[in-house]
Amino acid sequence: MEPTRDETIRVLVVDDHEVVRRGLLAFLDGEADIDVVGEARGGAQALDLLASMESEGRRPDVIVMDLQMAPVDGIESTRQVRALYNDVEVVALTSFADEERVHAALQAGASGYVLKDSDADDVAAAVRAAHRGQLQLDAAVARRLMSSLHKPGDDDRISELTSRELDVLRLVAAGEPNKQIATELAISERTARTHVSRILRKLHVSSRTQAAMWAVREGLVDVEHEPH
Amino acid sequence: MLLAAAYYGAAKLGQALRYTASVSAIWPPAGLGIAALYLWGIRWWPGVLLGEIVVNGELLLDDSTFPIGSLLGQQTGNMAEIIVGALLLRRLIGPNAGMDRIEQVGGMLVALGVATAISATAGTISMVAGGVVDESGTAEFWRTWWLADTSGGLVVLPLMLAWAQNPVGAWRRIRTWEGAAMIGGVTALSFLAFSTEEPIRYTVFPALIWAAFRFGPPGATLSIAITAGVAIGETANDVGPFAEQPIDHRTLSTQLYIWVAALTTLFLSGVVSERERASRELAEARRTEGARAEEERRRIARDLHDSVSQALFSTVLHTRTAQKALVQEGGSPSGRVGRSLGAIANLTRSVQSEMRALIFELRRDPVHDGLVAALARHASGLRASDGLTIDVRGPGPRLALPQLVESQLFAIGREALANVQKHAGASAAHVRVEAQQGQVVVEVRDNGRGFNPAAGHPGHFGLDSMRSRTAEIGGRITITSAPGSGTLVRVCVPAGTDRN
Repeated sequence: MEPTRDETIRVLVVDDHEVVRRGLLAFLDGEADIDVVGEARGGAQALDLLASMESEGRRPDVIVMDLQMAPVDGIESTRQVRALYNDVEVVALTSFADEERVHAALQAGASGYVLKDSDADDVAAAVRAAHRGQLQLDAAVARRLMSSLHKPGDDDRISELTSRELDVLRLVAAGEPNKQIATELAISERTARTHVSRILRKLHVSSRTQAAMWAVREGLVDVEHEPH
Repeated sequence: MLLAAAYYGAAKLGQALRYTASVSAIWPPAGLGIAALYLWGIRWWPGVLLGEIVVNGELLLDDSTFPIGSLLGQQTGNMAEIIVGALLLRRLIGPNAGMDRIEQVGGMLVALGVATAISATAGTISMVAGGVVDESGTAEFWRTWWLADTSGGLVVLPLMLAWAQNPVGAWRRIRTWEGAAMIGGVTALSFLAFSTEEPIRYTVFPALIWAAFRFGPPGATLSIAITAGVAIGETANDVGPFAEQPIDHRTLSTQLYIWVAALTTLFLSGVVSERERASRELAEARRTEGARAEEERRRIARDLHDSVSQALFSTVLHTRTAQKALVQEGGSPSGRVGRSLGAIANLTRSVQSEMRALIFELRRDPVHDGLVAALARHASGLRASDGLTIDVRGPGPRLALPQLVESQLFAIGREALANVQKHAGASAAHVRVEAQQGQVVVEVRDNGRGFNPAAGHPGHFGLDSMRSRTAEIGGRITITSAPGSGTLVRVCVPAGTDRN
């Protein structure tokens, strides 16, 4: 693939282990389409960094966030980041396939997760998938996430969505990345992004994964589509 | 008021055996006052002062020729004695000392000795100045005064301190057949020793030692008080070995008797208490040993995860970076560098999976797969180490037991097997786990040398620990053994239905 300048994924690495940050920096920087724009030791430092990047107009696209940190863990940090910048995707980095923790991270707004003992290429793949807005969940985690949403039919949040937003939501639920959505609806990628942000706000959910789940449950899309 | 009354009462008791008009052979009020101010605070001094004024007022009424200046000097000395004694005691042995440590007995002795020296000095000077005592008798007068206050103090002060700490517990300890027998023994032997003309006062000592060994500081101090009381009473009534002696000699004899009896018993009970405490702590340490080992395993797992696992993940990332860089820079993945990088990647992956398995194992509860399996695993570990054969039998399916019950039963079994291994000299041991009629029974039987379970077994703390574990899970433990016929440890626990 020939990456152009604006296709480069800007990544912020947040982990309290120096040794892990060094590894991620070396590896991700070696990827042609990924550019590590910053690193932080914890959630608080990450938020400071995001604020200063925001003021310089160079916020990252994806944050790789370790879940096991102190004093503020990665789940809480994800929640804080997503509350302030809901177009910045978070990939959770976790040590074990700890379903509880992964679930909590996804609820906090992470759009994917990687295990700390997976292959290096999986980390890059997860970053790319998050940037594309792709859902990457295994079935068990998806089921839990689904059941944790409110009961169907007891809200009229659907009426708050414009017809354009419903179109976007259907495509999100079908697992389409922003770029694809933009092409299909003949809008710019930036506009697609804005639509997604509004949808998240109106549905009171913190990630596009949850928005997609919600759409599936409300019958906006066929359940045939197996998220992947 | 109460303190003043008690002080007065103690003074009356002391005056039963007088040396001269104003000096008693034994002066318990000093110890009482020091103990009261030590226990309840220095601010109680007016009570002591009031008692002192009444005592001296009475003295003045009895004998109006008594120089009032001497009386005032003596009174000042006594007050100083009590306040200094209480302060010094707090300083030396801290608050709430129960006389159950050697340092406390020693500190008490120093505080009492210094404080009474003040009173003895002040008293002697007052009496000499007032002309009550001849100047030539100064040294002897001082000595008598000091010994009177210290021996009175040695009876009252430790008694109050030892009992104040936990009166209910102390009373429970003594309120037994053995306690009654001990008190009867001390009393009878004291009377025997002091009612004959023969100098056999040492006969009381076995009973005092009994008290020190079996009843701790409260029993020891009580028996000192009894024997001192008998000694004073009998001598004052002009009976007993000391009554025969001239007055000053008999005073000294009584004082020294109380000194020796009190010191021997106090130090002995201090040593015994220390040993008891040490063995209790050891039993407790044994009991928590398993829990600490468990905690240690989890800590190691956490550390491994925090350091080694993170570094391995980083190694994976760096290796992959190097592999990609090699290709980008025109190198061949099948060249020497490429093959080496591949080997590093593979090695790292296999270390990662070993580490994962290790951490998983370390985080696991020893009874994670059930009581019987855990006992069997533990037994096979023991078997490997010496000639003992152990067979473990129990139901195949996991018993539904609460986690605490399961881990305590495992620990009891482990301790019983440790006893078999250490003490029994057995060639075979059988462990049986049974679930019957709503209860779970664990039995550990061996064919070793056995022991007498009724005899105290200091050093075999495993027994205490098994008992306390059983109590903790509401079970019953029976230990059946006799010399030469092996040992059976049997624990019954009501079986719960859920495992939580």
